[in-house]
Amino acid sequence: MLKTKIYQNSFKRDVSFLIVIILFFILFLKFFQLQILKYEKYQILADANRIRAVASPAPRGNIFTRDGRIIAANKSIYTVSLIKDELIDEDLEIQKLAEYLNKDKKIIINNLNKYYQGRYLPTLVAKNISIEGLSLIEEHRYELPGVFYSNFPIRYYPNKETINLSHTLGYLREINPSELKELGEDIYSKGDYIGFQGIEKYYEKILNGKKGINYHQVDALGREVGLMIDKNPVPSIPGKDIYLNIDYDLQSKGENLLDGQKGAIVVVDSKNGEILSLVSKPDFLLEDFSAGMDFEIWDSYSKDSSRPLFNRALQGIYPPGSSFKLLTVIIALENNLINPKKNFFCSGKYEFGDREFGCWMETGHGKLNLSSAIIQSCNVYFYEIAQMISIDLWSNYANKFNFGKFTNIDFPSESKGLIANRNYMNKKYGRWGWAGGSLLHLSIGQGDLLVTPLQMAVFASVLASKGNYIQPRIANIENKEDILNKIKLKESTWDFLHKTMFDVVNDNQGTAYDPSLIKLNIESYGKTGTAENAHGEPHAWFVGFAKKNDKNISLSIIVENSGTGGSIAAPISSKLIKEYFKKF
Amino acid sequence: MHFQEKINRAPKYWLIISFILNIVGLIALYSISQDQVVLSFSSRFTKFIFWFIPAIGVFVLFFYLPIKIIHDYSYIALFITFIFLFIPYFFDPIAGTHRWISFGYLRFQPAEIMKWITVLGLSRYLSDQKLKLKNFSTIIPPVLFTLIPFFIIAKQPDLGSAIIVFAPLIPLLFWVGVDTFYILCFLAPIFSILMAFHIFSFTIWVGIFAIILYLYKKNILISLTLFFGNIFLGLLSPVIWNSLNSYQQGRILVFLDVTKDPLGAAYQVIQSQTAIGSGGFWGKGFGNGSQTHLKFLPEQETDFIFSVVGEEFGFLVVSIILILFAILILDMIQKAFKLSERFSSLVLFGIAVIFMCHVFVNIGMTVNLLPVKGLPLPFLSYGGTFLVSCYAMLGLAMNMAVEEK
Repeated sequence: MLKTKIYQNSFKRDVSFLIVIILFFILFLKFFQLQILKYEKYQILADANRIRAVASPAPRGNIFTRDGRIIAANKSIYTVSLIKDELIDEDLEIQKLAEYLNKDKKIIINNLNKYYQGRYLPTLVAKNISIEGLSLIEEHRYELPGVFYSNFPIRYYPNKETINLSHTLGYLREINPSELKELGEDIYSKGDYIGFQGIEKYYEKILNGKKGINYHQVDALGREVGLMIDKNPVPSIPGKDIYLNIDYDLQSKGENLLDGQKGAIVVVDSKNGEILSLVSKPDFLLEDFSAGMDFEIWDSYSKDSSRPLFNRALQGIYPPGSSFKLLTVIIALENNLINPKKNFFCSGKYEFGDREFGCWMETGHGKLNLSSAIIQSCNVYFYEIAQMISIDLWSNYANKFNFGKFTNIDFPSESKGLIANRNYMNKKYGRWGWAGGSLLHLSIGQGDLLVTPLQMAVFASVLASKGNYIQPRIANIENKEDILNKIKLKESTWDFLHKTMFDVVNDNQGTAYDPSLIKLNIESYGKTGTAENAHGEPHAWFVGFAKKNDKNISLSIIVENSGTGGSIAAPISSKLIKEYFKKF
Repeated sequence: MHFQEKINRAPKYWLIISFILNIVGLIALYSISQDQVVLSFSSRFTKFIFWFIPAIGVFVLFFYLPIKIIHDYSYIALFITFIFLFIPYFFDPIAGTHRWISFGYLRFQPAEIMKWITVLGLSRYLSDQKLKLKNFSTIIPPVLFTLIPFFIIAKQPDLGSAIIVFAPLIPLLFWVGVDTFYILCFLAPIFSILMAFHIFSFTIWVGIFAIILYLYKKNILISLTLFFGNIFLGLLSPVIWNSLNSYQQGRILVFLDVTKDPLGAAYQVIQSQTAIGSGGFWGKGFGNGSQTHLKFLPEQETDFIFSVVGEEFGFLVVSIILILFAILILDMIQKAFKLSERFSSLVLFGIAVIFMCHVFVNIGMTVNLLPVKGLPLPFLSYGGTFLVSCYAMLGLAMNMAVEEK
C-alpha cells in the first residue's frame, strides 16, 4: 500500500466547505433573482422573442344608395411583402422575386425603400399580384425566406355598369407622411389607403376600419412556425357602412341623360335637403384608381380638356342666366317696386345711356306683364325692373338666399360662387367705372355673378318649400331635418312665384313647356336659363321643382355650351322628374 | 480487498445522484430533440444513451482498479494523454478548432481526459514521501504539469477546458499543506494581470499586496522581488492582452457589458437568461420551452442545457439540482478530509474541484455570472467524451473514498 499519509486539520476542510457553499449560494441567489423576482420581465421578453405581430387589414365600410343597392364594396388583391432581417441574400432574392412577379427589379427596390419601416417589420414591395405570380412565389417559397404574401382589400364597384357617381364617391390614395403624422400611426401605417376625394374623404373616419393583429409564432431565424395558440389575435374591425341619400335609378338616369355632354345635375328632396342625385359629366372610372394610381391613366385624365376629374355639380361655377330672374322678381315684389300686372313693351332691345341691351328674342315680345315676362323669359322687362333696384338691395337678397356662400354640404370641397356687391364692383371697375348698366346684367343673371349647380338646386328647394333653407346632405348619417334658415317672404310673393314657375312648364308659351308631366299628375315648376359665356354656345339651365302626392323634389340642370335652357335642359328635367315619380 | 466489500463500503449514493442528474439531462435533451426523430440512431438523444455503455464501463474500471495501480501508472497516463493533446493538430480542424480526434462517427476530446489525468499526476507528485512541502522549489514541477497542457488546450482553442486543467493546482497545493505564501506567489500575478486594466484597482491591489507581503514576514529580498515583479507584470499585461485571440478577447469584453453586442456572444447569454427567467417557479413544462424550441437558445444540448432545465422545469427543479451537486461535492471533500492516504485524499479533492469548477462555470455562464466559456455541465450536458470522463472521475472518486483498513 501507499505509505504517504496526510494529516488534515479541519481548517482546510472548513475553508473548502465555505467556498463551495458560497459558490452554490451565489448561483442559488442568481436563479432566485431571475426566476422569482424578475420572472415577469423575462416572461415578456420571451414572448416578444417568439411573437411576430402581423397586421390584418380591415375592410372599408361599404357605400349604399338610399334604396340599399351597393355602389362601393371591397375585394381582395394580393400583395407581396418582405422582412429585411430575414432575407438571406437580399440582392438575389429581390432578383428572383422580380422574375416571378414579372416586374422590374427597380420597382421592388423602390417600394422597399419607400415603405420600409424597420428591419423586423414586413415591407410591402408589390401590389396587385396575379395568380400566376402568386403560384410562382408559393412554388419557390424555399428560395425566398423572408418573403411572404398577404391579402389587401381594395375598393370595388359592383354596379359600375349602371352607375358611376365618381365625383361624389371619390377615391382612395396612399397616405402621405404628413397625413400619417397627423392622423396617428396607431391607426394608419405606410402604404395604407385613405379617402382622398368625395365621400371617401369626408366620411373617412366612419368608413375606415381598425386594423387587427395576428400573432405568428416565429423561431430564432424569424421563420413562422404557425399561429400563436395562447395569444388571441386582435380581430380587425371593418369600417362602418354608409347609406347615401342618392336614389339609384335617378342617378343612373341622370348619368345617362348627360352622357357625352359636359354638365351637371343636382336633385334634392325639397322637404329635407337630401341629395337624390349628383351628376357631373364627363366623369371617370373609379376602378382606375382603386389599386393605386397608374401614372398613365392619371395623365390621360388630367390632360383631358373636358376635365373629367372636375366635379361640376359642386365646384363648377357658372353664370345662372335667366334662371336668376326669379331673384329679381322676389326683390321687386317684396319691396313693392312693381305691380305684377304692370305691362312693359319689349321691342327686342333696350337702350340704356349710350348702350343698347338686347332681349333674346330679337323681334321683341311686345307688351307683357311680369308673369308673361318670366314665362317667356323676356329680358327687357327685367331691364326695366333693374332701374328700380340698387346693387346693395340686389346683393343683399342674393346673400339672403345663400348665394355666394357655402352650402355646407357633407363634401370635402365645394365652391361658393360669386355675388357682386358695391365693394366688389368698386374694386374691380373703379368707383366710377360701373353704373346702372351692370345691374341690368345682374338682373338677368349675367355679369359678375357665378353660382354652382348645387346652389341653384338648393335655391329651387327654398322656393318649393316657401322659404325653408335646409343644409343639403349626400349621406344619411344623422337623421335630422335641420332647417338652417327660414327665409320670410310675403305669401303673395310665394304664390306668384309658384304660379309663374308652374306656367313656365305648363303654359304653351312657357320656355320649358311640357304637357306630358301634368298628365302624370306631376306638378312641375321651373325656370329656364340660357347663360351667355365666353366659351361659345350658351350654357343651358333648368332650375325648378316638382311634386306629386307628398313628394317634392327640387333640381338644377346645366349643360355647358349646348344651347338654350328650354331646348336642352328642360327636356332633361322632364325625363328626370318622370323617372323619379315613377315610383310614387 | 474483496470487490464485494469495496462495493459495500463505497458511497453508492454518489452514483444515485449522478443517475438522477443524468435522467434530468436526458429529459431535457429529449425535450429539445423533438424537432427530429428522437429515437432514431442519429439523434442526439439516442447517441447519448449509447454513450452510457462506455461510460459505465469506465466507471466500473476506475472503481475496480487498485489505487496502487492508479498511483503507479499516473505519470505514464499523463504522458500519453499529453501526446494525445497534439494529435488533433495533425488533422484538419473540426469546426475551426483542434479539439477532437475523430474516428469516423465518434469524436473524442483528449482535453476532457487531460482534466482528471492531471489531477492524478499532481496527486502522485504531491504524495511523494520525499517531497519537502516547505521548499519553494517543490511547487515548480506541478506548475509545469498544469501550465503546459493549459497553453496547449488554450491554443486549440478551448479556454474553458484549459482553465479546468489548471484549476485544481492551487486547491491541491492548499490541501496538501504547501506554505500559503507560495500559493500567494502564484495567485498574485493573476490578480496583477486582471487589475492592470484599471489604474485605480491596480493601485489598490498593489497596496493590499504590499500589506500581505509584510504580514507574511518573509525574506525582504524575496518580498521586494515579488512586489516589483508583480508591478512589472501588471504593466506588461496590455501587451499580453493584445496577443489573445480576438474571440477570446471578445468573450471577456462582452462579459463586461452584455448589451454592447446583443447578437454576438452576449446574444447567447441574453437568450439564456430570458429562457431561465421566463421559466419562473414551476417552469413552462416539458416540451413547452418557447425559447429553446424556437431555437433562440444556441448550444442548448451542451453548454446551455441548464437553461433548458430552468425554462421548462423552473426554479424548484433548479434548486434541487443545485442541492444535489452541492451534496456530491461537499461529501467528496468530507470523504477526502477523512482519508489518511495522501494520494487518495488528493485525487478525491481534485475531482471535487473539477466538478465544482464545471458546475460553477457552466451554470454561472447561463445566468451571466461568468463569461461564456463553453464548458459542459457534468452528467447533464450532451457530449460523449465528457460523459465518459465524468463517470471515470466518479469511479475514481468512489474508489478513493473506500480506504483500506
